[in-house]
Amino acid sequence: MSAPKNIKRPLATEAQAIAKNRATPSARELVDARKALLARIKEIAATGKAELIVEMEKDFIQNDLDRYAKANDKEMTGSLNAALPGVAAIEQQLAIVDDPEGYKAIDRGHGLPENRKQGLPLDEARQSFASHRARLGNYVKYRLEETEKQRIHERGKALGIAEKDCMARQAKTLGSAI
Amino acid sequence: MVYSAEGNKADDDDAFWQWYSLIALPGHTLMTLKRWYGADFIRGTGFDISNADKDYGPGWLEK
Repeated sequence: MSAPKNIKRPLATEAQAIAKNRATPSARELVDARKALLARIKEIAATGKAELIVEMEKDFIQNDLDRYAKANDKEMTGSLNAALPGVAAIEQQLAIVDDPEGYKAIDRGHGLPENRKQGLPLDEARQSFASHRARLGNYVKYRLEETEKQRIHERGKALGIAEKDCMARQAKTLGSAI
Repeated sequence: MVYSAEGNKADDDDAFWQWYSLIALPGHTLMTLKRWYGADFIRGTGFDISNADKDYGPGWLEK
């Protein structure tokens, strides 16, 4: 039996097929849809409102969860399932962070220096912001497409803005300046 | 009707979902839509749910 031929031509053929694919209306539609999504992420981040940003992140997680569960990707499904209680914790804290009476107990429960940063309690919301941003850092490694990486980057940025909003409200409620 | 990315900007919800439902969607997408908008929404919009029936078994909308 003769030696198999090398892979140069099949590789070059794949590249040509990819180029053809990119030129189709469907491929352009996908590019447009992703651009529109990215623009929406930035719009929501620009509001500076933690609730809107957290709702967006929850939508991303739920959307990904159904997709990866269907693909039987156990690692991603596990990670996304672990993310949901964190988001719920943020939602719960946001619901009380503006209420001086309600938030007092949280404040008192975070008296130790290691549970505070810049004088503010590292409550479950603050902890969840940190862990979820770390999670997003891992997700970037999974994505091959540049636009998808960019999307995750913008999600991380948005969460940073949401955490700032959360901190400003903590400070206001506790009567201290950041 | 050309919507594509414009669909996201459409103020007319009915027109958007009418355009959206022209394609048989993947099962997981229908599952996410059910999670977000509820089973009645899926029923009322006239989606082709055959892919979700295949993936999750008939009756997935009721669960």
